Amino acid sequence: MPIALSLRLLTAALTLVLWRRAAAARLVAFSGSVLASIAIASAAIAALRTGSSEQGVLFVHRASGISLGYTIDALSAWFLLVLSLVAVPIAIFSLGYLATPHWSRRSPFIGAMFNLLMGALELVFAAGDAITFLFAWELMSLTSAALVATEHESRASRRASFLYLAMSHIGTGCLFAGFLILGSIGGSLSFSTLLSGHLASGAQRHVLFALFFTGFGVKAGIIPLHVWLPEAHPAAPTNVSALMSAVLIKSGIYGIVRVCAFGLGTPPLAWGVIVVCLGAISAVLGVLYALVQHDLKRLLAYHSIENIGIILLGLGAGMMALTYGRADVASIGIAAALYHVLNHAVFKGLLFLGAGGVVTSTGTRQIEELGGLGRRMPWTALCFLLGAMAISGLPPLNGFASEWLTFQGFLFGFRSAADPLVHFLFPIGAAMLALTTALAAACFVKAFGITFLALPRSEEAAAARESPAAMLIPQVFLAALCVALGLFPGAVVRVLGSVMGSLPGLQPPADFTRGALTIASGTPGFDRVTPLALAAALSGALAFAFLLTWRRRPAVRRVPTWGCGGELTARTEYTATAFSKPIMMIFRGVYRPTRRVDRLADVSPYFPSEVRYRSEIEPTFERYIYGPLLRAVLRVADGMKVLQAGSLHAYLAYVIALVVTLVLFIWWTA
Amino acid sequence: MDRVIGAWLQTIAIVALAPALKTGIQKLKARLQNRQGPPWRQGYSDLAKLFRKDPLRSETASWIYAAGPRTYFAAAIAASTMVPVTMAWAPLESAGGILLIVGTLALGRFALATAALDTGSPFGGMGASRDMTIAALAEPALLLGLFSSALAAGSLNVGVLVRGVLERGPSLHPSDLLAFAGLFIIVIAETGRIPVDNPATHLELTMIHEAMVLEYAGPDLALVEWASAIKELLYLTLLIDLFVPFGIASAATPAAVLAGIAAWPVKVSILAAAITIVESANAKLRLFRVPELVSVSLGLAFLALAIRFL
Repeated sequence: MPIALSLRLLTAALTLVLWRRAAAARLVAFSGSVLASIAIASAAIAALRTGSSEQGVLFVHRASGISLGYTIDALSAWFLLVLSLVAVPIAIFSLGYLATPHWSRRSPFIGAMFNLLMGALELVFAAGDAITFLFAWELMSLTSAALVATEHESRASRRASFLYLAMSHIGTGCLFAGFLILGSIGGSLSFSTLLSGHLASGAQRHVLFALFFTGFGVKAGIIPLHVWLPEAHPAAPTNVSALMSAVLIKSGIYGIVRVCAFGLGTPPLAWGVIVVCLGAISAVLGVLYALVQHDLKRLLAYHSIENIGIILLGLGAGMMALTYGRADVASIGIAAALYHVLNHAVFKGLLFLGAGGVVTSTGTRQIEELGGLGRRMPWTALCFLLGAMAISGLPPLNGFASEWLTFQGFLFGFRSAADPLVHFLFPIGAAMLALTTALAAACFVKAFGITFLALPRSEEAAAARESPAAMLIPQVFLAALCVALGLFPGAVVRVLGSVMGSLPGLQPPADFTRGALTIASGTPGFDRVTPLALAAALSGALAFAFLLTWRRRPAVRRVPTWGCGGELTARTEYTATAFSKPIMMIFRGVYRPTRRVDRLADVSPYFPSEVRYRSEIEPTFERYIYGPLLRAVLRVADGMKVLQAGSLHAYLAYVIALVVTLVLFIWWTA
Repeated sequence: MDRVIGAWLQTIAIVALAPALKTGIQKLKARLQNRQGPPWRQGYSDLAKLFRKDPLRSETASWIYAAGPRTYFAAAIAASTMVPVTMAWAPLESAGGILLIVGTLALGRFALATAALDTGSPFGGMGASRDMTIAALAEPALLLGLFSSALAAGSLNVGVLVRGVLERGPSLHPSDLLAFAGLFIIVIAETGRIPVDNPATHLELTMIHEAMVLEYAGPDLALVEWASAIKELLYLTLLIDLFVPFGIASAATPAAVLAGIAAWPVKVSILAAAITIVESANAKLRLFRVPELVSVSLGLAFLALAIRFL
């Protein structure tokens, strides 16, 4: 761990030294990053294999007695492994991506910041005490905000970065308050004391849960704390967006698992209910908002919110089972959440890298201007298709495996809960999960089909070129990982078994896995799944289909598509807006769409020379929650301006008043 | 060994008899309209004709266009390997239960809808959009309906579930009726029958599934048609397995197997007749009225769960 972190610092410094030589800076930054990731991954694998935790001190400040310490236990190791698994392909991708003229000049800055951000993330996952954690957390927020503002000359980037910073600091404030309350009770800031679970009790515990859940929820992008996410993720360079969507938001999940689920004692029922409800809301609203997005990166950002929701559904089911003392059911729910953390990191990283390739080669993020890229970028298309299928939860890919486990957590919880009201939360949660996956499939048919199939809708799309190998190889690697993690769920769950073993109150069911191929849901005969068997059946049936349609001489006739009597051009193709229109109409209560059609006519209104169409959905959270909140804050700030009058005498008076109050306070308490 | 061979024969039976089910429904529908209807071999003749033709594809289409029908077909067959038909075990029931079956069918739908966007024809996009929308709405109701009966039996695996129901005998719980009604609506929606979709329409603008596959011809179309028929027979068999598996062979004795082979077509015919009557007695709903129908099904599934478990 210290080696990897010093490697990060060294790499970042060296990259800045090479400021003027962009190519060399890139090579140093990202090869250094790959090496550091490998070092972290091997430490994580060692911790997972042996089940013991690695501890150490990074830095001691003698005068104040503050030290930065780290502990890699099984839970940390799992998140570090996920991080490294995705960070290596992203770093390799960056070598090709940042070499393009658009980014080349800025690549030393991005390279240095990337390494700092990675170091901060690694330290967040490995922190052994509250000070290290908060230091790393803040560093993570600041470096990622700097990366979001890479294109600072555009107003949108600055705005996104500012919004991200503001929201992050609301979250960090909550975390500071939470850790300080815990620390003042426990008298120590090390996690082993703070999160032992029996420090707080009664109402204090609920306050702490609220503080931590809000603090971590901002970073995870849980609705309604998500407003920064769809702005910040698209604004960053795509390699950074991939890192943010795949892993950075998981730091919020890590915190929720470590502190809210296991650090504050056995969670009361209400916490699990809150987590399940917010998970369901995030999942369904996330995918619904994604459906009406036509900016490829923003669409993927909304899908991150959806997947955070799915993770929370599994986690919430597990927390409710913890309340009931069902260690086996809780293990299924928590395993589902942690498995989905890995899966989402892999396929969302893949999809963002694919989007990066598309944006680089066409110069646009609007899918309405794309089309036909499948012929011009065949490898990108194939990888993107696999990622799209994985995120839609289709078997035998990895998204299905973790969503299957989440369903099991729900069905089992349903059978083991005692409270009739809770009874009903489980089928509602399961229905929401089913709706989410089916809508995600619809959304990715749209995203893939409109971007990669049929005729190009713009000259840029028609002139697109395949990405260079440095950008393709990471995508192929991640796509292969999507397949492998789906076909061998037993192997993944067995690794998760050592994470389960380290968390209090969990006991994985005896026949959770059968070999590397099968996962079962615990009780004999309830349900199990072997994706490889399905893959074999599918390949057999595919072979049968090819046999049926096989010809001795290939005689495929190619003809133009029938254009209903007219000429078929890119303008007559179905658009992304049209594709999602039925869903927009059906869920108009959620979207509250407004539209405006203007017909500009020269002669007669029946022969318009130009039709302008404008349609938008209501930004509910921004308008009804954050708008009033922002106005209230500004009004209070306005009132407080009286205090900051600019007069030195007034300021001196404040200082004296403060000192007197403090003296009185100390005198009174002593 | 007999069991394994018997199990695989069931899958072959589903695949082979699916076109006959389609013709049967057409025949009965024709009778209800005082027409004669096609001969029984019609479904097979249609497929044979389509398979003989040369493949015809759009100039703009890529390999996705050819992969779509093949994946759709393969997914339908793979899903039917997990469902018992005439005997109380399925060839690949160890692969997974109803979640995997629903997932596999979703895989086929995803492939076909993606391929429909490949020709650049607006009809393909229109059909894909509508098909995915209805599927998204139907999915929660389908899964909840399946969960309701599966949880009562204590297993999500269709084979285990069927054997459990056979052991305990008929329960005739009111929740079964509700769940059955809910699932019946979903089966109509998923197989593209009136009142959700019209499989025999000649108006492209009102089509859903048929619009999606409008551009297909020859062997590609044959695969799509055949897979749709397999899917329909599979859904009906699944309903039988969940609610009235009685008569299915629970032992590998000749008498039991023969009884199972006799019982299955009878039960499928009754369900198919019900679908035909619904189709003949109703008009097609507007697309934006379909959510109401599906929410009825969702409500029924919830009620079934409530009655059973509260």
